[in-house]
Parts: sequence; C-alpha cells; structure tokens
Amino acid sequence: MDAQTYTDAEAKPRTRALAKQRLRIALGLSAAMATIYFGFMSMFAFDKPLLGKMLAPGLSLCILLGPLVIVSSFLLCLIYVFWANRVFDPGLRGLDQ
Amino acid sequence: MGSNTLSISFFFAFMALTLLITYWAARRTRTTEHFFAAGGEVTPWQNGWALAGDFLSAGALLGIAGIVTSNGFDGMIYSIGWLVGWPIILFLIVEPLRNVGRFTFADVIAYRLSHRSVRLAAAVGTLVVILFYLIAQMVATGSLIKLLFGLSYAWSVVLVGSVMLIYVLFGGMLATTWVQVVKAALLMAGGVLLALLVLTHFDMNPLKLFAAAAEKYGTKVLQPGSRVVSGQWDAISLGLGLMFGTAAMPHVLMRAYTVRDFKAARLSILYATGLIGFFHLMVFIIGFGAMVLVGPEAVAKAGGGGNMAAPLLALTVGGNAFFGFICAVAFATMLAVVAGLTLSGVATLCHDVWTNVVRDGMAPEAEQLKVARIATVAISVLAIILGVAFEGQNVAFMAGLAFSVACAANFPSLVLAITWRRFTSPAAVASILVGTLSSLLLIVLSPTIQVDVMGKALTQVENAWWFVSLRNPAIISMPLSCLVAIVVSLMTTEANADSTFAEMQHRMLFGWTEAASVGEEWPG
Repeated sequence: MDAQTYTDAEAKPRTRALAKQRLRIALGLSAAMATIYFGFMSMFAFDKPLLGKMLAPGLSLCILLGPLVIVSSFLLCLIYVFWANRVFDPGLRGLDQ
Repeated sequence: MGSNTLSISFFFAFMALTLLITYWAARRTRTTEHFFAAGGEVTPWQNGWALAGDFLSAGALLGIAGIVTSNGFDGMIYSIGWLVGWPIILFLIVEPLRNVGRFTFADVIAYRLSHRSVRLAAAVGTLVVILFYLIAQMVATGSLIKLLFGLSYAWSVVLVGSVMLIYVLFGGMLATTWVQVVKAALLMAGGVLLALLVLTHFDMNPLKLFAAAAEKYGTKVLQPGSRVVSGQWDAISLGLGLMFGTAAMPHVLMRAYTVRDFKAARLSILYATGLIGFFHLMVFIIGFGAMVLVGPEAVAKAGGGGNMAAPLLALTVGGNAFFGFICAVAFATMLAVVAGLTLSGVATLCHDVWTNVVRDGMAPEAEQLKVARIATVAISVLAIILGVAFEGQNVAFMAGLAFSVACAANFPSLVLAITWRRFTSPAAVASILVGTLSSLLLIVLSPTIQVDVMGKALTQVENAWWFVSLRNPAIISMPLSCLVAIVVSLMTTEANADSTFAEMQHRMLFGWTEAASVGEEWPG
C-alpha cells in the first residue's frame, strides 16, 4: 500500500468520475440547504413585516415557512440517501476490486 | 408534595434502568474500540436515536418551549437553527469522517497533515467547545433540579456529575449509547403525548391553537419580533453559528464511529434529522399550548427563566403523574447529554492528546484504556467544580459560545482537510487557534459578557473602541478562520501533499479495508 497505488487509484477515470459526482451532489445539496435557511433567516433579519404577514386566522407566513424549512431539511437528506443508495454505493462496488 | 414524590420515583426508576444498562455494558467494554465506539456494533436505527438523544438537550424541550411561551414565533428560530446543520453533516462530513477517522474528528484533520501539532490544536478547539457546552448543561441541570426536587444547587450538580461518571467510566460508549436511546425514546414519547393533549383542546388543529394564542395575546405572537434575537446581522450570525457549529460538534461527530460502516453512519444521520425535526415541531405546539393554557405570566412566576413552561403545561393537561414524568424526562435528558459530552472530551484527551501526541501512537491498549478512565474522572470532577462555580450564569450564552467556537474553530479545517489539496499543517493549526481565540475574544467584548454578566450599563460601554455589538461572533470569526487557513496554506507547503491527498481521497471512498477499521492498527 505505497503512495503510488493511491495515485493510480485516483487516476482511474471511473473512480475519479464517481468521486467528482458525489462531491458535486453533496455541494449542490449543501448549497440548497444554505439557500433555504439563509433565505429564511434574511427575511427574519431584514424584512419582518413580510414574514409576519397574516395568511389566515392563526397562520402567518413565518408559521408556514418555519416548519417548511424543517421539513425541507429532512427531504434534502432523504434525496441524498436515495441517491447514495441507488447510484453511489452500486457504483462504488463496481470499482472496488 | 405529591407531584414531587412522583417525579422523584420516576427519576429513580430511570436511574435504576440506566445503571442496569451500564452494568451490562461494562462487562462488554474491554478495548478502546469498545470504550469510544461501542465496538462499531450499534445499528443505524439505534444510532439515529442516540444521536437525537445526544443532541436534544434539556434546552430543546424546556428552553425552546419557554421561549415560545413568552415570545411566540421567535422560539422557532432556535428550533430551525439546531436542525439545519444536520443535512450539512450528512452531505459533506459523515462519510469521509467514518472512512478516514477512528474515534475523533481530529483523526481526519490530522490524517495527511503533521500529526502532533494539528492534533494538539484540534484537541484545544474540541476541549473548549466541550467545556463550555458541559458547563451550560451542568448549570441548567443544577438549577432545574433545585427547582424541581428542592435539593440544594451544589448537591444537584454533584449528583448529576456522579451518575454521569458511573455511566461513562464503567459502560463507555455502549452504556452511553443505550442511555441516549432510552432517554430519546422517553423524551419523544413525552413530547408527542404533551403535544397531543394540547391539541385535543383545539380540535386537533394547530391553526386553531395559534389563532387562540393570537386572540389572547395579539397577532404579534405569530409574527417575528426582535426580543429573542436583536439586531439584523446578529440573526444571520446566530444562523451561521448554529448551522455550521452543529456540523462540527465533537460529541455528534463521534457517533459516526459507533456503527459498522459509512453507509450505516449515513443512515443514522438521516434518522436523527427526522427525529430531531419532528421533535422540534412538537415543541412549537407545546410552547404555544403553554402560552394559551398556562399563560406566560404563570410560567414566568414559576422561575427558572421560563424553563418551567413544558412541565407546567403537563401539570395542566395531564395532572400530577404527567408532571412528574416530564420532570423526570427532563432530568434524564440532562444526564444523558452530559454523559455524551464527557465521553467525547475523554476521547479527545486520551486518543488525541495522550495516544497520538504524548506517546506518538505507540500506547498499548491497556494503557489507553487506563488513561481514558483517568480522563473520565478528571473531566467529571472538573465539570462538577465548574458547574458549581458558574451557578446562576446565563446558560444560553455558554451554549451559544460552544456552537460559535465549533463553527469557527473546527468546521473550516475539517472541510478544507477533506476537499483542498493545498491545505497545510500550519494552516490547520492557525485556523483552529484563530477560530477559537477570536470567538472567545468577540464574546468577551460583546454585550453578553460586558452587560449581562459583568453588569455594566450598555451606555457605559457602547462607545468604547473595543466594544463589539454583535452577540453572536460566528459572522466574523468563521470567515476569519477560513481566511487564515487559505492565506497560510498558500504561504506554506506540505511534504508529499499530492500523494497523501490522493491516498486520503481513496480512503474517503473505500474506507480502511473491506472489514472496516475495527481493530486495525492506526498508522503513525
């Protein structure tokens, strides 16, 4: 297991492509999460009247969006795990020889 | 007195159960692999519950419910902030962490960098985080037990410290995991039951509950206010600290190693995210329930900084027995969180500082285990002493401090070590130290310390040249730490950077060997 082996392993185009794909998806989903969260927090910080708009009795925009941020974080996790189980793991097994 | 007797019996029933678990686990804890990672034998589902147990401190049930009761919607800012870091852990951190490391996240940062200096710096960052979080939990626990059981504050802290010491010392990670699972299940059951009982008063429709709150206290309770988080940039800074601090909390990251492989680690994060998110939605209902059915005035009168909202609500909707149950669950929660934190502190002291820095990776197994147990006793005693010394301190600021330091000190080097080839050892050390020290300094100069703790008037300090008006330092300290990491990396070079980075990338995909890392020697 000298360093040479690893350089070779990394140079294998399929391994590299899979690693790259994983990083792209991970970064994309992280960016989506950050956009959702900081979008919400920016509204909270800079436009309170908008977030406080009443949509119905007992329902303001923030009471709708807040739980949606929570639900969407879980959904993003679900998307990643689905992708990882369907695409990434089988792809990895195909390489690991 | 009836309710107190009940809560005390519930509490002792819980303690008896957990001590039984500890006894069972102690007979299985033979190696450091068992002590720190439960032998990697925990299933993803159990680990997800344990992660939720580790992360849902009493602050989640009592603290956030209390904030919602007195301020309405704003409490949710904390609920959301404490959840959105979990997807980041899942996407960016957990798989490389599981595949490259062994017990602590410093394993990953130090993997291809100079072992000793980087590990030592990471240990400093970790210990500062753990210590502040531990103090926050100890202080909260002490004051709550004092309130609930009428025990004196100092004895409450000693009691919690001693029980936690027993779990960790004898049962290690296996006992701590099972205590977390039991506690998380109790907390979840209690939370769901409480929320359901509230909703029965409102035709099972949360909107009717919110409407009733708005009718009683004005629509402002359903709208964002500025009492909980003042200042616009402070809100963004708090968000940053909560999101990326969560993703770098040592006791959370340590649980990547208790499962069999990276797939199991990935799944356990998914389960934990679902459980924590669901619980936070329940807490929102509980908070509003307490607002309408108990009233913020009654909650404030009960003392404890609004922390009694959930227990008082339980008393109103479920009677004495339910009150006792919720109090005991809150106590169990604190105990379990403190145990989890202690264990990650012990892992840092023993695995990072002793085994890898002092003994340069050459410590025999028996010696490591002995050091781990000595470290457990030391941290427990320290936690008790600091818990007593910090009586009456603002708990939120110490917890916030812990997250800010984690965010600024640990997160940048962790991500850069995984993704950036040019990242060097001096850069990692500088980034961790700058992140830690700048967070501490900014907090010391902020109104949190100057006004709230030291009791100066705001007008007295706000024009001083050193005064920082931000209460949450992450928006300054995290970019600063990243900047230092990048600049120092570009000025220095790391030996064999290309081949070790390639080796690490390979490890990140494939792990140590087919048979995972259990029992394998740690190189270097």
